Amino acid sequence: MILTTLAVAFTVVASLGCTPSGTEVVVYTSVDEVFSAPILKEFERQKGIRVRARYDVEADKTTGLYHLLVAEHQSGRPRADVFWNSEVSRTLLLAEQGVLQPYASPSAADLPSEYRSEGDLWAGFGVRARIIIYNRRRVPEAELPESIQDLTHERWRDEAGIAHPLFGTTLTHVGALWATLGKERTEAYFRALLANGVKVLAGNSTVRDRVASGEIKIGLTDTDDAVVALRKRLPVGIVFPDQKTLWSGREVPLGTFVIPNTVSLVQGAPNAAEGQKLIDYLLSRETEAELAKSASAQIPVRQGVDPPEIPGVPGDLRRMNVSFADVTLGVQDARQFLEQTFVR
Amino acid sequence: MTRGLLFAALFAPIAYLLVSAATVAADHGGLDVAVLPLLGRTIGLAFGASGVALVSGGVVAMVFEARAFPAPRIFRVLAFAPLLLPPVFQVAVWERLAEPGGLLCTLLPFAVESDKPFPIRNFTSAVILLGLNYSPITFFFLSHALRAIPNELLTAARLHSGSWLSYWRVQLPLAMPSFLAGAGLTFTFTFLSYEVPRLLEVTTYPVLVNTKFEALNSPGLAFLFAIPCLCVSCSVLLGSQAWANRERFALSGRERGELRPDQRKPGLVAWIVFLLWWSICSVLPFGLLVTLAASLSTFVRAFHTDWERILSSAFICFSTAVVAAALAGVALLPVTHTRRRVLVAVLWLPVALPGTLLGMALVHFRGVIPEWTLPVYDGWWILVVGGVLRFFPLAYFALQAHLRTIPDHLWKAAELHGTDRERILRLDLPLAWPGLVTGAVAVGLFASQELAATILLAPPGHEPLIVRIYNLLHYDPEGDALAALCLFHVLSIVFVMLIFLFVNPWKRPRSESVEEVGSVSRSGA
Repeated sequence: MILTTLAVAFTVVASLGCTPSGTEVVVYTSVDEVFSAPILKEFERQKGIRVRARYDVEADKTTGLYHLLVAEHQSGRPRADVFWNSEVSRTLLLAEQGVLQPYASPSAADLPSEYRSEGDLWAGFGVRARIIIYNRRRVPEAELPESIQDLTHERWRDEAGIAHPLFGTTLTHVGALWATLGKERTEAYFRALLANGVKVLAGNSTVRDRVASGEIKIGLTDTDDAVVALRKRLPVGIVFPDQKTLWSGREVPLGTFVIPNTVSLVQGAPNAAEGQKLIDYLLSRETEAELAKSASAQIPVRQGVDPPEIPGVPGDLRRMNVSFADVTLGVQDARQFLEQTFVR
Repeated sequence: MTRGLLFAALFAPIAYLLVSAATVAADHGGLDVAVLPLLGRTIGLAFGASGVALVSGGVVAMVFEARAFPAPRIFRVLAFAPLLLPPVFQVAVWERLAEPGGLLCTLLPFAVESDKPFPIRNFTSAVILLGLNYSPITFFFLSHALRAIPNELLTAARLHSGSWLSYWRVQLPLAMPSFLAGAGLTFTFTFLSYEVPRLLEVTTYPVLVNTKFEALNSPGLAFLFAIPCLCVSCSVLLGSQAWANRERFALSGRERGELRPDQRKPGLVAWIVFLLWWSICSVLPFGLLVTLAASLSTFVRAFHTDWERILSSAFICFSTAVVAAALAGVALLPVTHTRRRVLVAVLWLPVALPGTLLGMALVHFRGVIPEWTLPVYDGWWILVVGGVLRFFPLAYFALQAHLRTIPDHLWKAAELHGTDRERILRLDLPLAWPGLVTGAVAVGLFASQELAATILLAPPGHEPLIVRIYNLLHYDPEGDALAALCLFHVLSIVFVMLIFLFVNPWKRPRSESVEEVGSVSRSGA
């Protein structure tokens, strides 16, 4: 009797382990689960297509999914239909390796041209900015940093933090600096950061949390992470860096680096038709507006979509002038330096 | 033949890692000596943490077993509570305690700068936190070993050398194999711990393996890089097992039911020692968990959004435990008098490897396995497979140790009965049941806390609860959902453990089962 009961219980529990059949789409996304899950749920509700999402953990941001997509592509057994990336450089690298397939989404028609790839391999939307977050209790207004260069100053010794530069948007930021400032100055900058005792943390949200708790005074993070802290009324403030300060040898300020979300269809996607529908949905004006309104406060790239309320955004925000292709090259070139410097 | 296939399947991912490593070894040369200081530091961390676990858990076990505490069974079960919590939550607890104005800042104001939290992100904190987290293992092993010493032996020892001398000269040496087995496991788990040092910003060898692997995506290189790590953990496990085997150590059976002759009611000091340890390890984290979750509505909300993950947590724990115990049974039953030779060092490999590597091997394995096996990768089953592959040795050695405690003449008699199905059902399984359950409980417990491999293996649409909890550490600054889900995680494990502990299809008094073995053997003969 007991054995029979156990067998029945096991069968019921085991059925949990099976994947129900039906229309579905598999998406790999490095966008924080708290922000991406509601969007995907809404897609499920509207289109009646089940979404099976694979999220990235904070510590391995984007890099983990990138390697998984490459491994699945190399084995000839892709599992994902759509890659919704929280940044751009890994998407371009995947495109180079033939992991993505073209899809000209009708929803991408009204996107600015710089956010669409030439062969329709990806499209970008909803940008986030790389900003400096500071603890309002520990940093007086008069001492606020104005540039990411300031993190190397003695004043912030052992008091600044960045996410691990081999992962996520921090890696993309390194690529952008590499493309803009060149190899020597970027390397010198990161060496100076380390020499100044910068904390290399697990992710951008960890940077935010350490600053909010007062463990460190300032840090580099993304707007979406910072806005979460602001909305929870934690004692933090944000600075859009490099609006006025000049780096030596440059005649204009560097500008704040902004990074779009990118979405693409995976080569050999098992559910390509459903994948296309999801891409259309993600690239739609409505989704961009939704992302702007949500806690992730993503800044729309389309004209006419209401921007999010982020305190401290300069009216005429100066953005870093660098192409995504150059950023991707920078990411590739910087890899060896980053591994030697930060994997130890 | 069946056993050969079983071991081949269990060790296929490790063989894959070995082959991958061999193909890249020529290009990358030998060991990079630059990592040796880090390896030394990691060994130091594991030694320190094991020391904390041995001192805290060991002392408490000695006090607990020397005195007649009320409801001892309940206290022994409650002592396991810290192991049920995800280790990352323990970090979250100490982060809360270290906040400016928090308990640690209040108790130790001289160690804190104004407006800054208490400094817990350092080597010392990692040692203490890991040690306390794993101290229930040493408590359990020593407590069990002390209870297994027969009363007649204790009385004889006391008559000869008095209370304290008998303790040091007789009881502790007898309990030492169990104690060392616990210490070996504690060392391995703290040495291979990935998420706790990472959250505390302490770079250890497994953290570096993880970072390097995520950056390079080469299983072969990662395995090569992890070889020093493997050597250390394997040596410790083998050493403690060799000692334990010599003394016929077992975690199941052989406990005396009655009190020791010298057991008195616990005094004030005994209560303080026990309650202090229990408060720090259990009351504090569980208290904070309940405080953070704050209201019933938080739990309702958490269950509403994450019910599938909560059920999956129970499913993974239960299935991994059952499958691992069943495979251990297949590998070791029916017991024959002839000893089977198994390369013990190889058997320990999955436990001695950083979880990342096993996850990595399985991810790449998907590219080479037959097409019809792919659906396993698309559901919760792959996490069961991962858990079984990693923790099967625990089930195997728990059962093996238990089988050693059964007198040889019983097995010899059973062999006369042949090796048919009836013998396995009527003789072997009832005798092996405590060992199977002990192994299943250990596998279920550790598999449900495994994070590094789970992160890599979780299929799309199947994010396990442990990964969700890890993510909420980053995305839930208020910690209410995190706390509620941690409690559900604990409840799911407890539910599975209760099934194992209370369901026994062969339940009958031990003496009766032994008599039956004799009678059945005779009838078979």
